[in-house]
Amino acid sequence: MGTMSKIQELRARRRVYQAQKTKEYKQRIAAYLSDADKRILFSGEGFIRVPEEEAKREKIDVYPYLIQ
Amino acid sequence: MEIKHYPYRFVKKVTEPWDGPQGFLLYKYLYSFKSPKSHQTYWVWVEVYEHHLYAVKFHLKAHRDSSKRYNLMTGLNEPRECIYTCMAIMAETAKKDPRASFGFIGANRVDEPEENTSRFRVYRRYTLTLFGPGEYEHLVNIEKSTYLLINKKELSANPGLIKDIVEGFKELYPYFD
Repeated sequence: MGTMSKIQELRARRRVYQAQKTKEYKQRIAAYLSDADKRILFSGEGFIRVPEEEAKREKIDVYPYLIQ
Repeated sequence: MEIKHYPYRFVKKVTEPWDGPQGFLLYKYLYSFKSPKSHQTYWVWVEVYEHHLYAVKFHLKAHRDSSKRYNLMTGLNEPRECIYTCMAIMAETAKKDPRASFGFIGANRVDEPEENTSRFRVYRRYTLTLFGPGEYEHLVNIEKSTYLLINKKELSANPGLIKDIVEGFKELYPYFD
């Protein structure tokens, strides 16, 4: 297999992985949103507030050296 | 919180003839910093919009003439330091202008879709860590990998602020249509 086709295959796999992770992320935060915000989230037209639970989950606080 | 960052300097204020008080984008500030690790220089653009909105962008100085300067990967393995430096510039801006709100886009890599990009995921995490929910309202558009940090005081004074900002961006950039 040539280098270019290998790169293309890796990029395609990365795209599939990213789509899967995005879907999981949307489903996770949708659980905390109102119906109107859910519609905005899945349509992609507009901004939604980051839910408090998700903000807490994403905050880096486990390893303080990471934020120094 | 004190952010450890590379030393940066303010370079100049840029006002394009087509920007100005008649439009949504008013002018830009250029900052620069040099990495002591890679010895490369980075440029940080702070675009100043109406409603005290500041959009922060950065790229390698060596990529300044490329149309894909925000999409290219540098391969220098120092994103955290660069992000911290940009956030230190944001913190300085917030100190100068207490009404400031911020926005940024996590640009997609070459051949990466625009939705929920890897840059956006990283920036989102650092923003949520360094900018507390007490002072700013955190808003995201996952489809466009766009993040808004809206000043809560400004939002309480003008409840239509988010709508005004989104409309301004839609008018200015086809990306948001």
